[in-house]
This record gives sequence, structure tokens and C-alpha cells, in this order.
Amino acid sequence: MRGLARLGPLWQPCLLLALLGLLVHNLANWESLFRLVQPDTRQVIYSRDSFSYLLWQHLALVGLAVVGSLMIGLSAAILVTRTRGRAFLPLVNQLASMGQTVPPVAVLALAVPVLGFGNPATVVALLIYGLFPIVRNGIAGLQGIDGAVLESARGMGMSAMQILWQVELPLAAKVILAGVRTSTTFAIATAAIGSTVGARTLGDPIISGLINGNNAYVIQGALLIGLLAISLDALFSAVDKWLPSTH
Amino acid sequence: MADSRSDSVLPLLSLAAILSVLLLDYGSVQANRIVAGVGHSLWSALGSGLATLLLLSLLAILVLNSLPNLSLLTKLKLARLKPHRYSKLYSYTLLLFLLLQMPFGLAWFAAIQIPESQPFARAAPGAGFWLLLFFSFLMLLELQRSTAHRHWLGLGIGLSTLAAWWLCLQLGWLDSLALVREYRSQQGPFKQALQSHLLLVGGTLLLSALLGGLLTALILNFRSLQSSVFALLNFLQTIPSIALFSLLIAPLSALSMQFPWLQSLGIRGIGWAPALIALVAYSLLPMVRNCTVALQQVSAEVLQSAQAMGMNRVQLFFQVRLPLALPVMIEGLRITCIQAIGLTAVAALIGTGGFGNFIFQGLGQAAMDLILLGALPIIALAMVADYLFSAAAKYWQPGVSHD
Amino acid sequence: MIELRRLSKHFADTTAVDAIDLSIARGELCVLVGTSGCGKSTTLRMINRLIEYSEGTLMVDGRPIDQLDAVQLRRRMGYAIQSTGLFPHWTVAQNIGLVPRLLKWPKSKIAQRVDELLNLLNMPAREFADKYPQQLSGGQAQRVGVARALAGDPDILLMDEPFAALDPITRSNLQDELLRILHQMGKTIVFVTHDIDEALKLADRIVIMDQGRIVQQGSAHELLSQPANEFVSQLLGKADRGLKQASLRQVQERMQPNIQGYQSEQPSISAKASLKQALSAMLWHQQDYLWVLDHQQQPQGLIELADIIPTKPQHRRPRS
Ligand SMILES: Nc1ncnc2c1ncn2[C@@H]1O[C@H](COP(=O)(O)OP(=O)(O)O)[C@@H](O)[C@H]1O
Ligand SMILES: [Mg+2]
Repeated sequence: MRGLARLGPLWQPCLLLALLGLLVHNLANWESLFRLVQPDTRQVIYSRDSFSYLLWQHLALVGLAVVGSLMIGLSAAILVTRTRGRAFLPLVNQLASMGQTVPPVAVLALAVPVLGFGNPATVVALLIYGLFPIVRNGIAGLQGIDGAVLESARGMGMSAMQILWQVELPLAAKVILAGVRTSTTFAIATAAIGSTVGARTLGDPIISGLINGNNAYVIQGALLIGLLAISLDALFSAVDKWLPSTH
Repeated sequence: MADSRSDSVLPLLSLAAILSVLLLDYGSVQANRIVAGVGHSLWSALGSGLATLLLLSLLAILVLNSLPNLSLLTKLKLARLKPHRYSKLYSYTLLLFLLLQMPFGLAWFAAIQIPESQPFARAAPGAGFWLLLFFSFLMLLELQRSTAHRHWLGLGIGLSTLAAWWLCLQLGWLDSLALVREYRSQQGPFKQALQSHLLLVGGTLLLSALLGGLLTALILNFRSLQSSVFALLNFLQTIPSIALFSLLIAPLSALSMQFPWLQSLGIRGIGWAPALIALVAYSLLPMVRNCTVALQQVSAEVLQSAQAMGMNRVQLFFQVRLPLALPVMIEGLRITCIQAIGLTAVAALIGTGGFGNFIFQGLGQAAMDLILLGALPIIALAMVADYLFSAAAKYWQPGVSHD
Repeated sequence: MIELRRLSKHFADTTAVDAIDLSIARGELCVLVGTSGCGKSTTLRMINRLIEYSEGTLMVDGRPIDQLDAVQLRRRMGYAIQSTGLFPHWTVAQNIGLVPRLLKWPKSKIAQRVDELLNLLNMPAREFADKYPQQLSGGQAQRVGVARALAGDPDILLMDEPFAALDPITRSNLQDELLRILHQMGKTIVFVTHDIDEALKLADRIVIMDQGRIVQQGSAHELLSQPANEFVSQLLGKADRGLKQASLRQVQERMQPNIQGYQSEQPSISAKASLKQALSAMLWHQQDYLWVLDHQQQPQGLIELADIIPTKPQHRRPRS
């Protein structure tokens, strides 16, 4: 009951996602509207791929990358906060904060010489860039837990695994989630630029519109990407409110 | 026990470096700009002499720093191994050698592997080289952690490494390096890119500092505005950069059609105008957030006692609040600047120039060296900005003396 | 039964516990006292292997603890600490039910146990079971901490300054409750405190530590009457020593069963009051005797100043 009541804020992302769905499926029908922007061009609706295909493609890239960053980044954060890995903590922390100063476009650009054009390079670039906030927040979250709580968990006879899953991760969840949220925001934006390295994303209409001087395409792509980013952010915000506060 | 474990980082890093130079190509040679390169192992790239020297240095770092780890031997009383008294000094020296040899090694590689008959052939560092650089850098960071005067030491090592590269470049030893070739053929555009990149970033910093200052003052005076202003700025920050840039194109081009004098100012649908607007919009969140937090966190007790001493509002602000808030405000500038450097690269898509141009041109032509020519300076700019602003924040940290 | 034999713990640069010998009998309440940093907590944590000892032997129920599995061992020992360490993301009921859950008790039995413990600690289950730790006052949180330590029905209870952060009244209430509960259950308890009065009040046996060593151990009486050295008497509060000792004895131990001449308007005192309270009442009323009443206010006898200070002839004040 308490859980359900806390799900209240979910209406906001639901509404935004519904709007996104509506746009994706109906944008193609609003030709007359876009003609206003681009009166002299023959074609005003981007049609090389359907918007829904591009949306799924975009989401798949982002999802794959963020899940990958979460798994790798959280494992790293967990490892360096154990006694055995503690020696690596300062280095990993410093590396993650330095990594965050590298602009995401540069990471995307550097992925191409290594991995070539296309989806794999984009996913790997997003994944690597997404690691930094997750590692940093993971470490901060796990280290921010009250020492007395951990001591009494051990004192009660919880095993290391039980402490990790039942105490540490739930208590760090909010901070970790904030890291995932940052990663996702970056991934959505960078995936759009991924169009320039040959990934098929919602960036395609924008790039194609910029190249051909077709503002209607540009607006279609930008609207969908903007809405996607905002809906997912609202979703994270709802999940964050739903997580019990621990302070 | 715990101490010996903490020494496992350096050996592991040096092991990783050894493996990467052994297993991956250290460099490659391309016959011309577009064709794929031919890979060369460490041995064929550097010749057996330098290659052996390089491997030996890495091995020495590995051994020097694993002595205290061989606790099995110690336990069995077979040997009483302690870290060597000078192991840190030796490790520093070896690392400095590894870093300094890099440009000379590459020059040597180009000299021995590019035949005279191919004047357009270019040499490029390979994955092994980059990983060696990366791991050496990590080892340096790790060594520095436990060293006094580490900032000066780091600065010294960084400057001497740069000097080595500069020397090799000046002497023309690196001329057949792909990136140098690319740079030489793009010298004019490169300067231009640097100029427009810096201009746009500088303009963004200036404008967002002004606007951010205004907004902060507004928030501090009307507390009720705080949550809505932050909600708006957060919202702006969520919108992907390429979308915000693009969404500004249509309204701005409509405006400039309506008012031709705007066009004469250079305000058009594409170009610097939409870029600057979007960049400032993104910058406001870090700017305003850090300024408000910084000014609000000055403790009420300090302010009260300052008031009790008889300071007026202006004195209070400039002599107490601002100095105490300065480091956090500089941190806001740092975030803004780094973010703007990256976003300016994206803005090349809407025709602002800057280093992003090289990236997107390079992507379009599948010219990897051109991509690097755009990406590496962007990273370098971000790093330099990070270093400078962090140093400034540290310098203006209240209550810390500098000697 | 817990036995420490020449037990030591060395940290990198300090010896926190230095070859101590101590055996704690089943059902005993043993209090470790000493100034901060003298190694009390370290000793306690070695018993449930939160800290591994460096040298010596440590046996629980006749078995060396390094032969036991640390996790299993801890589930048999309750553990309560000053900062409670309650899990902020769990309700009071979930916190208390932790060890039973780890021991895989059936759900219904856990729920029953949680209710029982809450009621035992005067916290109505209906009101508190679903609260989160941050909704509790300091005293309530500490009760929950104690309840959580008791939940798995451990034979041994380890408590590290559990009441140190509380105000004196709450502390005193909790001490009384703890004594009551423990007498009902007959647990073996090792209790750490830096507060000598708490030790005098609770302990069957007091162990005084200084710089990692045991300086003296014994009952409150033995310590008060024969402090081993200057440090111990300092710790016992030299000047108040007599009063402290008097506070350990009840009036009924010294009274004369003589109620001749009893008048209800004359000063009186409860039979369960301490000798210290009797002395105080005599001072207050400026009178060298008090009537002793039982809990139904019926006269039981008489206590005189001479009963509290039974003077032997050679201790009489020399008259000039
Ligand atoms: N984990 C530790 N590492 C190093 N020294 C410690 C550690 N724990 C305790 N000590 C040292 O051991 C001594 C005893 O500590 P402790 O047992 O906590 O004292 P007490 O509980 O009596 O106040 C102190 O000098 C303390 O600094
Ligand atoms: Mg202690």
C-alpha cells in the first residue's frame, strides 16, 4: 500500500511518454504544419526511416549503453569499496572525475578510429562515457553509508553478500540512481550525435535536415529527441521520489 | 599487512602496460591519408634496443613495487623483503624516462619504417602506444598520491614531457607523423578553429556569468523564485544539445528574415547566434546553482558576528560573503567552461566553426587523422580549463595560506 | 562462558589490548569500564570477531572462536552499540526481525517475537512496529537497538556503551529496564561503558581497564572497599567513594526490626531505599534515626546512624 501510494508522481512521465508516442506515430500526418516552416521544399516529412524505428533504435542504443555502464561501473564501485580493492579507490575515483572532463563528443569521435563507423562504436562510446558518473556516484553512495550501520550489520551476523544486497545497495540507491540519470541524459544527447558516425538514431532527421537545409526535418528530430530526454528524466525523477529516503 | 596490499596498484598497472605494448601494435604506417595502415609491433616499431629498454623499465617498476607484496616469502622467513628505500625515486625516474622517450621513439619509428620512396606515407601511434601513455599516466597519478610537493612535481613532469614533444616537433623529427601531416595541411583552418572555439567559449562564460549573477541576486532576494528558477534551468539542461541548437534555428531565421539589420550583425538561423543562446542556456544551471549554494552556505553565525562588528551590507558582501563563497563559484565556472568546450564542438553542426568542424569533416570523409585533429585539441582544452580553474579555486580557498 | 587468555590486539602503531585474562561465567553481567581509548570496544569486538585478535586464545563455550564460523558465531550473540546502527531503510519491525530472518525462523514466529520484544521494552507494537528509525527519539531508537540484539534469543549479549548518548533520566530508566529483562532471561552479558556509576549500578562483575590492560576486576563492593591502585580509586571517584558504596546497600540490610515508639508523622524511609538515601534523609531532617516502611507504608523497623556507620572501638574519634 505504501509503495503504491508513493507511485503517485508516475503520472508525469506517463503523460510525457504518451505524448512522445502520439508524436512518433502522427508526426508524419502533419505535413501541412511543417509546410509552414519549409514552404518551398518538395518533401517536408522525414521519410528515410519511420520515426518509430528511429525512436526504438535510439532507445536501444541508450538502453544498451546505460545498462552496460551500470553493470560495469557499479561493479567497479563495489570492488574498490571492499577491503581487497580499497587500494584502487583513489585512482579509480580520480580517473572517473577526470573522465568527466572529457567532452562526450570527443569520446564519440575517438571511438571511430578504434571501432569504425556504426552502432557498435556509438554504444561503446556512450557506455564508456556513462561509466564516469556511475562510478563516481556509486563510490560516493557506498562510502556515504553510516559506519555504525555497517558495523551493526556485521555484528548481527549478516554475510558480506547479505550486507551488500540488503544494506549497502539499498542505502546507496538514491545516489546511484542520480548517476544513472546523468549517464542517461548524456547518452540520449550523444546518441543523437551518433548519427554522424553512422548510427541510426533520432539524430538522423536533424543531420539530414542540416545538410539539406530542410528545417522541417530538423524540427521533427529535435522535438522527438527533446521529448524523449524530458520523459526519461521525469521517469527517473519519479523513481527517485519512490525510493524511500534514508536520511 | 594492509600497507603491503595498497602497493598492488603499481605492479598491476605496469603489468597492464607491459601486456599492452607486447600484445598490441605500437604503431602503424599508412601509404597515404585514406588507406588503412600496416601495424608494427613494439620490436619492429622501435628496434630491439629501445624496445628492450622500454620493457625493462616497465619490468623494473613492476619488480620495485612488488617487493613488499611477496609476503609469502616473508612469511616463510625465506627473505625479509622491504620496499627499497629509494623505490619511489627510482619509479619516478623510470616513469619520466617512459614519458620522455615517447616523441623520440615515434620519430625513430617513422625514420626506420617509412621508406624514402614514399614521401606521402605517414606513421601513426598504435593502440600499444596509447595504452602505454594511459598506464604511465595512471602510474604517475598513483605515485603522486603518496608524495609530498606532488603538485610541483606533477607540473614539472608535465612540462618536461611537453618540452620533449615541442623539441621533436621543432626539429621536424615528427613531420611524417600522420597527425602532424594533417595539421600542416590544415594550419590556417586550425588557427581559425582555435580562435572561434575560444571566442564562443569565452563569450558563453562572460554572458552566463553576467546573467547567472543577475539570476543569483534575484534568487537571493526573492527566495520564492528559487525552486521555479531551478526547475526551469534543470529542464533546459535535460534537453539534448543538438535538439536545442536545432530548435533555435527556425525562430532565429524567421527573426532575421523579418529584421534584416539582424542579419548584418551576423544573427541568422545558423551560426554563432543560436549556438551562443543555447550555450548560455546550458551554462546557467551550473553557474546559478553554484553561486546560490556558495552564497547561501556562508554560515549565519559568521554573518551575524560580522554585522555585530558594525559592517554595513556592502562591506559584509565584499569582505565576508564573497571571499567565503569564491571557491564554489569558481567551481561553477569550471563546470560551465568544460561543458561549453564540449558543446561548442557539437555546435559545429550548425555552422559555428571550431574544432568540432574537423571532427565532423573527418567523419564525413572517413579521415581518421582529421577526426583526431579535432578531438585531441578539444580534450586538451578541457583538461587545461579543468587544471586552471581547479588551481584558481584552490588558490582562493579561504583560510589556506600559500607559500 | 567466555574465556580470554592472554589476549592481545595490535593495530599498526598501537597495542589496543595487551595480554588480558578474563573469564565470564554463564548468566553473568560483566561490565568493562575505563577511560576512552583504553581498549574496551576492541575487547568486545574481538568476542564476536568483528576484529580478529592478534595473540592469545579466546574461547566461547569451551571452543576457540577461530574454529567457529564468524557469521554463525555473531548470530548467536546479540550486539548493541551506542549509535544504534539501526537500518534507516527498514521499519522497526524489520530491524528487530533481522536476526530471526537470518536464522530462517518462520514468518509467524518472527512477527510474534517482534511484538513480544517491543512490549517487553514498553513500546506498544501497534504504535511503533511500522515506524522508520528516523521517526524515533533517541531513547526509543536505543530500545529498538537492544530489542534487535535480543531478537534471535542469543545466549550472549555484547553491548558497547548502548546508553551513553542518552539524557540521564532516559538512561536511568533504560538501565532499570535492562536489569529487569536480563534477570528474567538469564543471559550472559558483556557491557562496555566509560561511566563508573553505570557500571556500579549494573554489574555483577566490574572489569577496570587502562591502556589495554585489566587493572582490577571484582564486584562493586570489592572494588570500592579495596581499590587496587590510585588509578582505580581515581576512577571510582575518591571523594564520593563512601557514598557510592552506601548507594549499593539497601536500608533493609542494616535496619533493626524494632518498631517500638513508631509515630507516623516522624521521618521515615522505604526499606528498598539505599543507605545513601537514608544518610541524605538524616542530614535533611537533622535527626540520627529514621523509621523504615515497606511498600505498603507499614513500619518494618528502625535505622540509626550507627547502623550505617558501624563504628568499631578502635575507630572512634580520639577525644582530646
Ligand atoms: N581500527 C583501528 N585501527 C587502529 N587503531 C585502532 C582501531 N580501533 C581502535 N584503535 C585504537 O585502539 C585503542 C583502543 O580503542 P577502543 O577499543 O576503541 O577504545 P575504547 O572503546 O576503550 O574507547 C585506541 O588507542 C584506538 O585509537
Ligand atoms: Mg569504545
